[in-house]
Amino acid sequence: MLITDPVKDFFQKIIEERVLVMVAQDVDGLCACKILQSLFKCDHVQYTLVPVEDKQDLVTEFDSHKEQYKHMVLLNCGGSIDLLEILEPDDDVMIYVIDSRRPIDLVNFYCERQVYLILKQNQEEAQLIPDYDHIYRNYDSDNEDSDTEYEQSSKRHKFDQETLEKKREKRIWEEKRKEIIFDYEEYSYYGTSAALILYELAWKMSKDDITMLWWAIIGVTSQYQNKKIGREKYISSVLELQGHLSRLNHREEDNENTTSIDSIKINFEHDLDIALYRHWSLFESLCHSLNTGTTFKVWTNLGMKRLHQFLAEMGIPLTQCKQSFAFMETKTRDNLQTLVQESAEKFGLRNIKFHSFTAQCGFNHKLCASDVVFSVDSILTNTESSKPESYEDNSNFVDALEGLSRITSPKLEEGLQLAKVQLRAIKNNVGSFIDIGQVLSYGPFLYTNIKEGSPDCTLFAQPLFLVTFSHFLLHSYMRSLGKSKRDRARNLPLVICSPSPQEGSTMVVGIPPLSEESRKNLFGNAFHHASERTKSRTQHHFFNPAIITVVNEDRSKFIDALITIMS
Amino acid sequence: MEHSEMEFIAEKQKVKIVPNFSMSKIYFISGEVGPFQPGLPTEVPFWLAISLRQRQKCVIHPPDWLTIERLEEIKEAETTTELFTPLPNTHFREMCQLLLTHAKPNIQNADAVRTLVKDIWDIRAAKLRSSSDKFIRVQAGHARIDNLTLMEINIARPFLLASLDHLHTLRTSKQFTKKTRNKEY
Repeated sequence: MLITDPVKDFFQKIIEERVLVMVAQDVDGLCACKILQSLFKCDHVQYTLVPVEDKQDLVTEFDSHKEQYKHMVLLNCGGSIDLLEILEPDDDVMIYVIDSRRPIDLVNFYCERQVYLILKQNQEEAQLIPDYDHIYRNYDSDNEDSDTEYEQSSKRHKFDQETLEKKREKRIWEEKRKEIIFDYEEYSYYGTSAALILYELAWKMSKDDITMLWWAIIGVTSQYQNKKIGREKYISSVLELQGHLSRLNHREEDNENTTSIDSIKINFEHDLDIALYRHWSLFESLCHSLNTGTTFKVWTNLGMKRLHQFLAEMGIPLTQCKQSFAFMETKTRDNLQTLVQESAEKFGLRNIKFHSFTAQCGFNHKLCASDVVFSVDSILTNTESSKPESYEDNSNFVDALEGLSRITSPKLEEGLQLAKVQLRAIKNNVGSFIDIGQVLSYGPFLYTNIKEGSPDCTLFAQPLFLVTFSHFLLHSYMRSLGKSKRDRARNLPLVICSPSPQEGSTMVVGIPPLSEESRKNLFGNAFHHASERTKSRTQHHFFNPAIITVVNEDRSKFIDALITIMS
Repeated sequence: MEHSEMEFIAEKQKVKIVPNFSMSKIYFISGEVGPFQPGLPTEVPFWLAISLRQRQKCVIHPPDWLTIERLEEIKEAETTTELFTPLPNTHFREMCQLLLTHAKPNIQNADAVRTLVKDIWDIRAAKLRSSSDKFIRVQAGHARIDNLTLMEINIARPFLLASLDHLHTLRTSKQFTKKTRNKEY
């Protein structure tokens, strides 16, 4: 059921209770979790925090906690699956779902009592859901009809015009219903960030402050950076956030004097879309960002030459570019954005700047939102943790939460270093894949297979990392094709197979094509159909329906079925 | 007394807040508070104000003497005279510390205020140190200082008492040796 007044129907209800909070392991969910935690702290709400990785995790944690908790909050998980069927909650259990994944499962939306959804407070998203009457129909009256029909046919053996009409109408209605549901569930995509929804809730209760706004900013930026939403949606969310920012800044600057130096100051900027450039040398950042790395084709010699040309065009000496950013000349550093923008056109760099936010606390150097997203993402997918195996598996989650807690947190610094390692791994592997020609065109989609035993296989076993890698690969592959082929290939999505951490199975990930601006992904459905058709042993455990695990033996027939379905 | 105890005593003072919730009167052992109406300023004990502020339920109005102009006047007065000037509040230091920790957005120019408060504190501490030093050196019997706050007395107490105790033991032992020497001769 959709909650129209989240303050009254959601927050006031759970304030008195002990709450179980289950959080999915992505940056948006973590930011939403942080905002919820600070709201709970204000009102002394007792809660238990449980990170969940996939649907199986959700069920196990739910089962182990269901006796003690009657109120549960699901952050960024569970919106698109049938909760009543999968979890089988008792009658007095209330489940509140704040999820950015779409499409929302229809049962979750239309059930009256136990599952409550909190969506953004405008009517747009609720309108996309099909009407109640188109999907559900009162079957009691139909049963009566069928009874009378039986009686009639057994008594009179005459087919009444009315019953025929009713049967035909029912059939037409059912066909239409199937069509509507198919259209609705065809694509999987992402809606408003969960962190932003919770920030609006805090704002309605006048409990918002600048730290919560920063978390909401990170949540929205992570959606854009991981290519979950398109540019348009990102810009509309950013404009909202900017409204909140000016309101908060205005409130504190009412007295004409400035605020203390120790509090967080957020600035709205038109920033460069280059990864981690404030924490790395300029040269490295340009090589490893998605935008610049793929445009310059840094895996080729010619590409590197063009990159050097670009730097020369901007007038920055090569020695300075290879130095750490903080040690570059001040004049160059300040003018960097203008220099890049001027030279960008000539070298075919598009969308080099995007609207974003930076935060500063004390006299530390600035941290921009995308840096934080990189850092937290890499902490979550950290496979080389120094802790022994006996520790809880949730140490990544705890570390990531700690990194988000303040801007000056040392965990963020560690995360940045990890992010650099991951970006290097991506660049090297992308380069080698394209050189070897491992990206094949299978007709309706592009296909890549990552062999077992490759040097970064531990990283490739993480679904988050795999998705980032596949975006990078798709962009680079486009660039490496000739002009004519490129136009055709823009519409092709990419499917990647990688050895899964489970023995004997493969992880399959599908991402939408480059031309799809709204990032709608049809692989969720496609994978389901392919698996049913070939009766392959697949597991659809992840919350993202476009990621599945398939047993190694069934992989080839699964891919063949996928080709037939999609062509 | 410990610093935390003095902070505890300082929290009994009344301060003005503007709540954003509504509640009827509350009856405590030391008095009654309320009723609370959103937007209407109320006087509450400081400890309650801090607790509400941490839960984002109110806005604390800093006391009148916590402005840059007033603090600069106090600082001027302290530097010019040799004696201690009266401070606007007996719990000056503790209040400032608590307000700057918990209610920083509600204070204008929090950084400048913090520097000025620290300056005033340093000047007074220096005066106290030099006067207690002179007192012990001269071996005076009694002294009188006006306008000290509880915190300053508490900081001076251990040193002053310990040193005066030592002096006393030395003085009595000297008299003792004087008496015995006289006896011997």
